[in-house]
Amino acid sequence: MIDVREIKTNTLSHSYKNGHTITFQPFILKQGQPCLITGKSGSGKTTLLHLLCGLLRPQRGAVHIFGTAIYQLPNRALDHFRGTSIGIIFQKPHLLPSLTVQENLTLAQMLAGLKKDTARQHDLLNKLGILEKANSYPVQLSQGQAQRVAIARALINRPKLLVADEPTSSLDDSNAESVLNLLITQTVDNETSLIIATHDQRIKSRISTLYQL
Amino acid sequence: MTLFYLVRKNVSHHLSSCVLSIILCSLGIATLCLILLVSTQLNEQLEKKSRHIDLVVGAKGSPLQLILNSVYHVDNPTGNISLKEAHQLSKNPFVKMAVPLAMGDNYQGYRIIGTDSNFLKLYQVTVATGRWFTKDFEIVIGASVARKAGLQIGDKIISAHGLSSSEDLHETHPYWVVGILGDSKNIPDNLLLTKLTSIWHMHDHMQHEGHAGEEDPLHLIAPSEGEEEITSLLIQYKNPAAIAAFPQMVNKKTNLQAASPAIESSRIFSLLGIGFDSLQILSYLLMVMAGGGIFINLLNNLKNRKYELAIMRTMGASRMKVFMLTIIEGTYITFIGTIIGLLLAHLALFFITIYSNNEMVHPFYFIRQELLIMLIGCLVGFIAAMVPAMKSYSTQLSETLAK
Repeated sequence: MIDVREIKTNTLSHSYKNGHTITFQPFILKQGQPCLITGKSGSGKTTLLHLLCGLLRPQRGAVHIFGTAIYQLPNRALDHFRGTSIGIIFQKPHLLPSLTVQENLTLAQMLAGLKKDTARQHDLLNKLGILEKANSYPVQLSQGQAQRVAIARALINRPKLLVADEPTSSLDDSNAESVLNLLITQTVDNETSLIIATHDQRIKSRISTLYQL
Repeated sequence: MTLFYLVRKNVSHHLSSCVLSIILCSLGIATLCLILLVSTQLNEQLEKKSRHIDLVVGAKGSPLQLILNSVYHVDNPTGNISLKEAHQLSKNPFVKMAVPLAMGDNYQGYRIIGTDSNFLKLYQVTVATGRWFTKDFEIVIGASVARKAGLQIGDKIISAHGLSSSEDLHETHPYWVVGILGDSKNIPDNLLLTKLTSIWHMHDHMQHEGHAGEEDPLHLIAPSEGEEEITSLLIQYKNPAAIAAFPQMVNKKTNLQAASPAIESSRIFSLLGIGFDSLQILSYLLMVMAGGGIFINLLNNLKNRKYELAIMRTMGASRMKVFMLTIIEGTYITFIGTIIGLLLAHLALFFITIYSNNEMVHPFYFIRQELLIMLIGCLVGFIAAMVPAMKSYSTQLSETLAK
């Protein structure tokens, strides 16, 4: 039975290029809930995240995100689904250096095939406390600010699922704290599911749902 | 926000690494365009200046020299021919019009030509102010000559012996300017026209003074033993049938030489062609280097931007979009180079015309081939971007992001 209000996989497996095969137990997460994926480094956290957000086709198994079997979609439709329904945050912000903060957000809207929404951009930047940086270029931002822009970029299209891969590992305590707060409040407010892969102890104390590898 | 905007921002962000490619491309395009502009215009000018002349008859020698001398007025004459023989030829049924030319003097570097009124009909010019000459030592001047030498009707001018030197002046026989020709944008603009007899009398007189005679290197007009001579005869045919028969008749049956401007013009071009060809090869080489530069540039950038492109994919960009992004970038860089190159070519031509003071080529003359050149330029970028674009197309998302 497929539930449109949950993210659900059956047993997934992936083979690395070196021949090593990794298997993941079924994963279920209700809409609007946060969840941590933890494990030693090299345990496959990133691989599972990529499988969950449509970046890596599993060798075996299926991924249903709110009722959509994403790996049954044609490539283009999968790209589009990812752009509109999933927000991804990486360890480093990786903003486009040639675009301003606001243009980076516009790019996310454009690539998802949506209209530019300036009000939404301002609203998000304001909530993240970086509105005054809207016309700055990424090189002019501090690491913490850049990571916040990356979060704004992931949230701009109101995704139903937000995925973060070690979002705090390169930040100091105070920045890590505020980034984590942002992630949690933003997802609770918008009924967005949140999956964080991390081995950062600072996060573990805040989110109780664990998926241990 | 469009892909093009993204490319533009990216290129201006990495401008320093694109500059070399842009410069190489613009130099290649400029060379290519300059060659085309000059050769097209030269060709047009050569063709225009010989348009109504089907054949030139002169003394035996190099046919190319005869054409250069009598049609384009640049080289020395091949020798003289007798007026009597020339008259006989002009009565031939093939001949519609025959214009005698007698040269040997100049005024400030402009040639003085002894001729008759058929000259005006051949070049389709009219006397704009004043009148046509009727007496010896009356002279009608071309529009350019009047403008540049500042001559007016009624002015007295002193000619110099030879086709270009200004040392040996005919001070005892000044010419009267009686007319100025209309602007024809053609050969007559830079000539001074007078009666055949003026030329003869001028040199008759000189011989009496023991001036020219045997040491004359130019075979200039001088009546010897009472026989009147001219330099050459410009001929217009009555019908195309003459093209095959008439020159052959002249070359075989008389001791004169017939040369066709069409044939000789194309020979001039095949001679110039070697120079044009080597320049063209140079321009292609520059273009290939520009293409190689862009190729290496994009490939290098790709290494740094792999993650960037992968992030764009996670935000919903399809493989095709990422592919197009790289293609547009390569094409855009050469497009900038091409536009700069075309501007450079016209600018270079502008300075060439200023410094060489010639009227053969015009800097702001645009030809249709320039569009083709633009297309070639963009194509170079397109091809150079192909492999990097394919690489970005086939990038494994998960692998790149996991690094």
